Amino acid sequence: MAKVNLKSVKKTYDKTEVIHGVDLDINSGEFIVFVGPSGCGKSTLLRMIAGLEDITEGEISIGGEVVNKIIAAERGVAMVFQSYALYPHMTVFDNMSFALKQAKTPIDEIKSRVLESAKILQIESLFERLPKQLSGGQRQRVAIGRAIVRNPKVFLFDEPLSNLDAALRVQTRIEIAKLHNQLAATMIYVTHDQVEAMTLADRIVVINQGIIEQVGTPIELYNSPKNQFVAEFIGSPKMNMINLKNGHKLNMTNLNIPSGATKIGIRPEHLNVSNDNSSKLKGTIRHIENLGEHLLCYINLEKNNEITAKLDVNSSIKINENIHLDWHQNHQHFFDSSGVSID
Amino acid sequence: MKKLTFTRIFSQLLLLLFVIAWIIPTFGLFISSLRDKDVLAISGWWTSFTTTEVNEIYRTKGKEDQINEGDYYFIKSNLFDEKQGKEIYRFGVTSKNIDEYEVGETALFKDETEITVFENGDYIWKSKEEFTKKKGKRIFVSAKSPPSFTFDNYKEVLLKEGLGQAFLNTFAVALPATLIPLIICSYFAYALTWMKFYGRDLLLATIIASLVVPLQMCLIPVLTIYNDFGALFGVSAKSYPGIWMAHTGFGLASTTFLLWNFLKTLPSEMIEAARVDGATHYDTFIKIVVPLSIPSFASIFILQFLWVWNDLLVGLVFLDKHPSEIILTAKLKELLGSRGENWEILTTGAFVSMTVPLFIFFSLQRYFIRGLVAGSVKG
Repeated sequence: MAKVNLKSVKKTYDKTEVIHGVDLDINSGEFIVFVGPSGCGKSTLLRMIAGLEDITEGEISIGGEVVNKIIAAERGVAMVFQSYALYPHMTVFDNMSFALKQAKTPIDEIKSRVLESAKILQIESLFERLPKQLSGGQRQRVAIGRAIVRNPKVFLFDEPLSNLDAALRVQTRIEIAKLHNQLAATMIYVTHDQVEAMTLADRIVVINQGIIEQVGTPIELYNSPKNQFVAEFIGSPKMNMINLKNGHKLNMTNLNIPSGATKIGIRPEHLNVSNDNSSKLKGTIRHIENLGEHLLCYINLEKNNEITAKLDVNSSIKINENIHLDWHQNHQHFFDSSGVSID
Repeated sequence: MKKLTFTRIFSQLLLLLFVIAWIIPTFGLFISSLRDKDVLAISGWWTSFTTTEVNEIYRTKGKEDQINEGDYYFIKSNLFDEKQGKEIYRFGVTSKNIDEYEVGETALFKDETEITVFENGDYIWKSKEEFTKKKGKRIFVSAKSPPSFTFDNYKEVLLKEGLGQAFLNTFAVALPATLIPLIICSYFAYALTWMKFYGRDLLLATIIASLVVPLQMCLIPVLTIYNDFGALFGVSAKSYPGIWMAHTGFGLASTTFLLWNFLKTLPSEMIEAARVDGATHYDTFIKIVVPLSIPSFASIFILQFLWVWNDLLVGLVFLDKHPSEIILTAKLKELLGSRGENWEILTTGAFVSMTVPLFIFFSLQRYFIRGLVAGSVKG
């Protein structure tokens, strides 16, 4: 358990700056998720904390101690990799005990600690197997077990679920959440999947092109995104953006548009069908996807703008028909021309 | 079953051709080396599996072996010195008519002595008067010779001709000259692949560039430099350490390149995991990289070992022709000059020099299977 502090951290590869000064304070025992599109620098940031990448500028401290010059093994961090990165020629037990052996821990202690962490993950029965004899999910457990054994101050996860199939991903996600409750350790988790971010995180860090867009609890990010990027990145399907100036058939009277706003954002799940001619929005239904629990409805506005609405399955709508849409005033977001949110 | 396309048939036929082109001479060499040297000189190895008819000349025993029984003197013995399994079917006593008599018949010599020759070579020579000549008489036989093989050639070549010593010498050259570069280059390749240091790419480019420099070009300069250094420390110009160093130097670039090629296929996340787990570069190399690189080490070992084993040029330049230093290829070349007529020595010598490459190849073949990394990353 330790807090992690990043102070104007920058990373440059061959004169190309990929991380443009990141400031972040991670509290002890917190589950932090770095989320962003691929290539945004989230993995690089994690690897810098792990000690696998040099820190070009700025300062990273773990538990109050600046670790810029400290090698990976001595930072008290453990990392779980996307490809599991198990040692293929070693048994599960040897894989899990490798770090302790490197640290010259007494044999008895190695055994008890490996057994203890194997129990948490229920992989004691796999001790004698080689990685190639394990399924993908089991391999990922062993990789997590290898991290737990070291009893690190900070756990680092680099997209650990990307290689698993959908069902296993949900299951392992829940286990990681349980693990965090059980160990109460600081965890930093990198993913591009916003569902993982929303479900796991105490706080989410949204990263885009090497800068932090917003830091906040999942619900904060969902309810009050600071800018258009966060608004569109968090939530699925993504938030609808409607230009205010292009003269869509918006019924402006009920909107209370703040000054300077150029766009209005409404999440698909907040749109509902209205039979009223005084509704806020009108469009033509182009396509409907029935997902069982709800309908995803793709609606054309004028000028080929398309929005998505998540509607009740029982809505009586048909393709190519006109539709009137409404939303609650609390659910609308306004953004100015530079994409910053206006309250 | 795969579809039989023209390319597939062609490639299979080509493969068959290669197999035949490789196996037949090897097999012929092996059979030849097991044949009797006299037979070897007159007939091809492919005749050695069937019974052949040969005409031979033997000489009977002389007066020392005679015995007196009643009125007659007898010499009873066998034409063959040792058991050969030959079956005589005709014989003769004059060079004009070498198959005059059926086996078992009695032939008459000019001096009126009589001889009976039997199928297995036994003969009874009968005379009224005492045999007086020390030398026996010539007997011409036509015999059927069954297939026969012998290890005599090997005994001769390995023990008398000094090929056995040359064989050991070649081992003394080839083993260190393979292991030393392998050890050096594995460290080197690891550093080139997984360590960050200034000028790494330049170093790699240099190694790849030096792959194209022919060995012959630097042979003499290397020898000269080595001689000068040797003189400085009072080391003989031609010695085992010298040739080890030479082979190491010449093999360095290719061995490093091949190993580098393999090492960079190891998953980088695994190496990083080891780093986070507290392994130093040395630990990572010894505990992670080496165990996973055994297949590539084995294949590079085979390549370098065979190259050193079959090398003649470096061996001639860096080693003396003393029996204690001469290597197999040089010895064979020497035999070719001095005993070029003796096929049994050449075929046997050639086969002796082939045994080790064959053994190495067949015993290490399984290491070519690169299945060891399976399981560490998602396949």
